[in-house]
Amino acid sequence: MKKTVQVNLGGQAFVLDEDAYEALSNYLNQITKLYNNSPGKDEILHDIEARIAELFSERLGGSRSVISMPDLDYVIQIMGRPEQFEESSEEFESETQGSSKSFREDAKNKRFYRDLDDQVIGGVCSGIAYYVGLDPLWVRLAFAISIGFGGLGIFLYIVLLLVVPEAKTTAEKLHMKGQPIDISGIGRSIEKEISDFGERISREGGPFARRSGKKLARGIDRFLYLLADILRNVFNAVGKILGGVFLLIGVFVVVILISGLVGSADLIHFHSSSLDVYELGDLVFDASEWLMLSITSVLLLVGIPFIALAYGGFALLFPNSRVPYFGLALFGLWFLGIVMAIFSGFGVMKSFSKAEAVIDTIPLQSIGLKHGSITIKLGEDPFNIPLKRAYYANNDFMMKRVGDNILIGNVDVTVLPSTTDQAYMELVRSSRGPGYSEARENAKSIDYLFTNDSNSISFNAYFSFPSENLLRSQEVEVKLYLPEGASIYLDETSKRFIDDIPNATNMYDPEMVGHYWMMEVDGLRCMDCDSDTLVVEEYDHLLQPAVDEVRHAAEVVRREAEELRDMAREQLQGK
Amino acid sequence: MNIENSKAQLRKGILEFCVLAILKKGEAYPSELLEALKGAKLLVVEGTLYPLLTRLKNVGLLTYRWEESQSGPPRKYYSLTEQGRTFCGELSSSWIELRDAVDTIMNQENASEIK
Repeated sequence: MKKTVQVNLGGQAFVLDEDAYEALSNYLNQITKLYNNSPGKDEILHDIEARIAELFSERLGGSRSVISMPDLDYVIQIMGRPEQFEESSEEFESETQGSSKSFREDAKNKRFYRDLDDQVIGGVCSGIAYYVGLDPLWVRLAFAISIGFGGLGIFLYIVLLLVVPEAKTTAEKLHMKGQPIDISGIGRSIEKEISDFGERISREGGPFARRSGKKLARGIDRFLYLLADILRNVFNAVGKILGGVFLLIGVFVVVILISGLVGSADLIHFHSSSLDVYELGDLVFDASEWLMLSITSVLLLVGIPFIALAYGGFALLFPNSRVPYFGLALFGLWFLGIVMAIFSGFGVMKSFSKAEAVIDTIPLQSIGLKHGSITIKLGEDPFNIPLKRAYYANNDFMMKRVGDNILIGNVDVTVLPSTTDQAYMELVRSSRGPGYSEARENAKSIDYLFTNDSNSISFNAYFSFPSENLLRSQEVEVKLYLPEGASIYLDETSKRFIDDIPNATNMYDPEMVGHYWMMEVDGLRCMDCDSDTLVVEEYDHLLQPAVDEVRHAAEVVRREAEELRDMAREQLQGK
Repeated sequence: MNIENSKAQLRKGILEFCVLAILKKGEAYPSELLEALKGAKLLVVEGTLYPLLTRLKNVGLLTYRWEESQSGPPRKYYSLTEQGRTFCGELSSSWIELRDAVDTIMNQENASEIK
C-alpha cells in the first residue's frame, strides 16, 4: 500500500504514488535549475510539464488511474535527463549572453577561497580573481591602487585574509574554481531576486534596455555573490570567536562559583579579617536550612546564566552539538533559583523586621568652659585601619569574630550643641530582630567602650556582641553634646569614627581633624583654620550673579507663558 | 574524442534547421514535431526541443497559437513567421551547398579508395 499525491501538471490532474511524486518533483526541480537563468524559463517549464502530462495520459490509457515509478521512468527516458539536454541549454546561453559562459552558472558552483597555489601574500587576490573570473593581475592591481586611497586596500586585505578560508583540499580547490556544490539559501534567494529583476527589465524595456538590464543584473549579481560569501565568512568567524569567548567566560565563572561552594574560599573579604560565605551566612540566618537555601538560590541565579553562556558559546563553536531541552532545563533551574531566593529572602526579612534602640545618657563633667579643650581621639581599633584610609574605611562594613564574640568596626561619633550648659554624651545602641523584645535584647547586649580622662576622650572604633545574637544590623552611634563656649580638639585619629559633624563653616569631616573647634550659637566653629580653608562661604558671592540670572530667566518664561495664555483665552472668547 | 559527443554536435546544428523545415510545411504542435524528428532519428531526448522552440519564438522566427484538443489541455500550435520563412529559405540553400560539399569530399575519398 502506498500513499498517493494529486498533482496539477499542465492543467491536468494526475494521481501519483509517493515515490513517483518524489522523483517527478526532483526531476522538475533539476530542469528548473537548468533553465533558471534563461529568458522564458516559465514557458519552457510549462511546455515540458504539458508534454509530461500528455505522456502520462498516453501511459494510463483508460485502465489505470495512478502513476507509479515505471511510468515516470518511461517518461524521463523519453524526455531525457537534464544532463542530456544541457548541451542545448548551453547553446542557448551562448546566443543570448555572448560567447562566455554565464557567470551566474559559475557563481552557483563557486566559493570564495584563498588560492595558496598562486599567492603573493595570502592568495586573497587570486581567490577573488577565480571568483569573479578575472586574471589575478587585475585584482592585484586594483588592490595596489586602493592602498593609495587611505590604506583601505590594506585593511580590506587583512580582513579577507582573516576571514576567507584557504583552499586546502582538492575539493575546496575545485569549489574555488567553480565545481558543482550547493550554495547557501541566501545566495540562491539573492540570485533569484536578481534574475527576476533582470527579466522584468528585459521584458519591459527595448533591445538596448534589455541588454543593459541583463548586464546590470549580472553585475549586481556578481557583486552580491561576493558580498554574501564574505559576509557569511565574517559571520562564521565572528561567531566562532564569540563562541570561544562565551565558552571561556562561562566555564571560568562556573568554576569559580563551584570552587567557592566546595572549598571554603574567602569569597567575601573584610578589612583585615575575613569570613567565608558559610560563616557569614551562619550569622545572618536563624537556621542552616535557610542558609543552604539562599546559597543555592544565589548559585542558581548567578551560575545558570553563565552555564547558558558557556553552552551558547559551545553551540556557536560546534553548531551540530545542541543538546535537546538543555536550554529549557537551564531556564527551569534558573526559575527555581528565583523562587528559592524569594522564599529565603522572606525568611531573612522576617528576622530583621523590627528595630529597637537603647539610649544611655552619660554626663561629662570634665568638659566645660573651665577646662580648656578636650581632645577627641581613637581608642582601640582591632581592624588596624591606616590613618589615611580611616575616614572612608568607615563606610565599609567591618566584622571580625573573636572567640564567641562578633566585633563590628563601624562606630559613628558626632558632635552636637547641648541644650543645657552641661556637656553630655548619648550612646545609641540599636539592633533589629524578629520582634521588638528580641531587637531590644540584641541592642542591650552590645558592648561599647570609651575612656575618659580630664583632658581627652578615647573612642573605640569597634563594638562587640555575642555571636549567638547573630548579625541583626547592630549599630552604635555616639552623640557628643557640647554647651556653648566649650571647645574640643579633633585628633587626626578621630577620622576613624567622626561622622557628619554639623559645623558653622560647613567643612567636610576629614578636613575637620587637626583643628580646635568651639561650640557657638550656630554650631561648631573652627578656631585655628587658615582663611583659605574657609572659602566655602565666599563661593556664595560668586554664585549670586548666576542665581540672579536664572531667576530672571524664569521670570521671563513665566511672563511669556501668561501672555500666551491670555492670547489663547481671547481667541476662545472671540470664537 | 567521444563519438557520442561528436554525433550530438552534428545533430545540434541541424536540429534547428529541421524544426524550421518541418514547420515550413505547415503548423504543428510539439508532439507532432517530436514524432517527425524522432522518426528521422534526429532527436534523442524530447527535453531538448522545448527550450529550442522557446528560443526560436523569442528571436521572432516562430509564433504559436493555442488550440483546444479533444484529449487533454489546449495545445500550442507553432508556425513560421515571415522572418522564419526567409531564414529557413536561406538555411535550405546553405544546407544544399553544405551537403554537396560534404558529398563531393566523400565521393572523392571513395574514388581514391577505389583507385
